[in-house]
Amino acid sequence: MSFFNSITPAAPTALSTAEAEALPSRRPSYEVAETDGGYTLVINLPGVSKEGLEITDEGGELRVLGKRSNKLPGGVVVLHRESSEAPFELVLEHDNTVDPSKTEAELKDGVLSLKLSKAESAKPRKIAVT
Amino acid sequence: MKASSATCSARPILGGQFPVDLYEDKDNTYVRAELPGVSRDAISVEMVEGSLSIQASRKDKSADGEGTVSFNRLVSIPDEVQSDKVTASYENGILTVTLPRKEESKPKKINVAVN
Repeated sequence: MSFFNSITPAAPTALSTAEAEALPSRRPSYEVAETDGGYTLVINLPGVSKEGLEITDEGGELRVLGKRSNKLPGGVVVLHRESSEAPFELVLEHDNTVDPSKTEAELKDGVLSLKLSKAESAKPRKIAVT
Repeated sequence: MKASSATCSARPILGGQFPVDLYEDKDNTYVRAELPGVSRDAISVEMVEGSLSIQASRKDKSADGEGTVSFNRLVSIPDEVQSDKVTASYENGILTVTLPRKEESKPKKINVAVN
């Protein structure tokens, strides 16, 4: 697929918000599919609520940052832990083939669905020969 | 902690086994599992011989069509629990199961008179 032609791995220093936690971010699992008018992106973000989610699309770079609200309650004894409190971060480049103003996002049960529309300039155009 | 292997498809987004946490306070033992994108009625939680069985399935739509993926995991619970009082909640893709412990397995304070 030519769309996300490079994927920047999440870097600990790349957290954009001031209150970024000391924990390094983790790249969530995700899936991209191409549709007629654009792309759909499904990202697994368990433990992320709407309030903890930040999506930006600037300069051909789509960034999804999800802060997790899965801290364990205070005063409990942990017997076994596999989950992480590290925020999720996914950065994908799209070389401005996407029109960010038309992006739709829906978060449900820890899964973020993004509908990205292709920019008019990126759509195939028929050129008539005169 | 004993864990069975999760059943999952080859699709990468579904990952392998889902992560589980086990913790306790003075009254309850808790099991928390990351199961994003699963509908509530597709989750089944039950106690089987001292272990908590979590089963879930997720319907996925993609360009290749629809598919159902099932997840299951068995978590052994160290304390005796009141199986009939187990409750579960699901929020933001995280399942939290609360298992109230039986009275006899709670720590007891015994006062001993010293003469």
